[in-house]
Amino acid sequence: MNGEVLEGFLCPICLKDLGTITQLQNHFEEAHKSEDVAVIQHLKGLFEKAKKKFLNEEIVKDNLQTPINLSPKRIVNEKPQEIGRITSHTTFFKNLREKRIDAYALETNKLLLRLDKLIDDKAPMEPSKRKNYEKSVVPWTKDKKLTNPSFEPEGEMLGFRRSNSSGSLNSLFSSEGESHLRTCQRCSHLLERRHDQMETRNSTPMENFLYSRLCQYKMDAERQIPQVLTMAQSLRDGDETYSLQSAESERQKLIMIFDSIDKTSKRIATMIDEQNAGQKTMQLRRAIRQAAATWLQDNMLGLQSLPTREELDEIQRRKNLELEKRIAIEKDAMTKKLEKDNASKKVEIVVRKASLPNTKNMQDENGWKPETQVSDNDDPMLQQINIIKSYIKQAKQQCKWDEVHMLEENLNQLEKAYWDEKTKPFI
Amino acid sequence: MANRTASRPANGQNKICQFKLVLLGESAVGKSSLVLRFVKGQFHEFQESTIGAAFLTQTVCLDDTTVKFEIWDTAGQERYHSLAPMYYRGAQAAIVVYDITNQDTFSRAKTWVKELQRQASPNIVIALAGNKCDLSNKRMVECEEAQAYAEENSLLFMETSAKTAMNVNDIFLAIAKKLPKNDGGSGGNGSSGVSLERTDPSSGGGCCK
Ligand SMILES: [Zn+2]
Ligand SMILES: [Zn+2]
Repeated sequence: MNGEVLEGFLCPICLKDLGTITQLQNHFEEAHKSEDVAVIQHLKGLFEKAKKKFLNEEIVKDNLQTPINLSPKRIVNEKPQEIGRITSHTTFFKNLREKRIDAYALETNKLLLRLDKLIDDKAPMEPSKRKNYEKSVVPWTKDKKLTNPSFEPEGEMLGFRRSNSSGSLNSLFSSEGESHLRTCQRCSHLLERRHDQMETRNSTPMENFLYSRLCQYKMDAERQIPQVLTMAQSLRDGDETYSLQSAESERQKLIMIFDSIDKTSKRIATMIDEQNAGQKTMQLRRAIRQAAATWLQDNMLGLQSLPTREELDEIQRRKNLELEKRIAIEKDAMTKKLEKDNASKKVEIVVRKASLPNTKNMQDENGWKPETQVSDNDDPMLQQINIIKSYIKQAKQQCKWDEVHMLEENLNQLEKAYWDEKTKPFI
Repeated sequence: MANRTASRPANGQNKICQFKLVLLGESAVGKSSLVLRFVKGQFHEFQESTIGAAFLTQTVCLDDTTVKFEIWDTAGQERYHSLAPMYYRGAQAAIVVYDITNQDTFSRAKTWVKELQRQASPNIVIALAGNKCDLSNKRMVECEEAQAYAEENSLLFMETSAKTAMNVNDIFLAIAKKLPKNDGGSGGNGSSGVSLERTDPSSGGGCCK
């Protein structure tokens, strides 16, 4: 390879020329993240160190003579390994597990039945009778044997002894003060196991507790948000339904809830994996946090701030101004309407003068003249409009375009006057 | 000189170490020329500027050890700067080059040294090369200044000339001497060379199996 010069956007690991800066960077990221030479060599270094610790120098030296080739070319030729045949062992595992669970359950239940008899109130308390009673319930084994479970015969693991010396299950049966149980290790193990099982069943793990709290907070917030939004909008509209203080305090409540959501989810995400629950659990916790963060982002963005006292005063001042203006306009409109009533009559007259006489004169060389069809029930203006419309229709049928044009202008004027009159009073 | 001694000795018990070396520095300070002089013994007055990076290898013999350099000659132009970390990561040695006739290139060299000290393998051997020392009549960077800087930062330092070949092989040899060659004990931070079984010379450094 000496003398050979490669140049370009070369991958420092596989020596491929990737053509552009971006492609090179992408390739490096994607293809070699896991085989970073620096990391490999780092690990190699640690490995060598460890080897040196365990073996003597001679052996180490010997091992180093084994060929190691880190030539980039070798890596080029290696294609990513494909997934081979997959076999599911889940069913096998489940069967195995079930059998074991059944066995434990059976043993433990038998044990508990015997225990029940032993601590039964009806059991004789007189020492001599008591001993016989106990013997009838539990097969006794000799003291020295109890320390070693392997001495217990198969299927005969229920060796109890009630005694005053301390046993391994004090905590389970502490109700009777000084009297204790002595069991072999195996039974003790079974009982403790059951005890633990009950504990886990009855106790809520911290994260469950935190998660249900988190859900509660979210529900609280979802109830609180519309309330705050309504209040904010109302204030912005200048309404006086809510006071700024009450809106402020409702908003503050909501922010406190947001804060609790943030803190609680963070706490879940940063919980120490005390029970070594493993990767999936940690992943779930992080996902909970992520979801909470997204939720917060979504809901906090829509939450506008409340107007300040000054802004509120300004809003209300403007609202009052607006109101005054409207009153003034309405007054104005009323007076105008009165004038209009007179004026529209005038318009009507003008129109009548403008249109009707015209139609009378609208008799061309061929003697065409529009015919009038009016119903008397309509408002005079409407009547007029309808008359003109019928004239236009007729003129069109006759292709009298000059007349059509003139009549249409007339109609426009009329309609405008009519419309003005109708709408003015409602302004 | 080094490229004379590059041919492998017949003695099979010789130890071979392989090191990754990267050249950094402002554009046109003569990085490619230094490498070309070292690897091929050539010099081109008008060396074209490098695109991306160039990869070359050269072997030198040191006592009972054969040191194989895998040399990454990076492009000096600013637009390639973002690629540099890719090339210097995992490198056991670096030569930071400046041009003695250009003060700016010396400042740039200092920046590179700082970056290497921060980001490269902690035990990387860094050499500072003040190139173009044949142009001493145009000198802008005093040898003493660079020397002092190198001492402060524990760098190897030489003024070189790719054109006259002055100190070119020497700087690579100095680096080779400073690199740890006993594999196991040399600290695990990627700074140790990779010890290789001598492969059949005809296979030319490719796969051994
Ligand atoms: Zn690659
Ligand atoms: Zn037992």
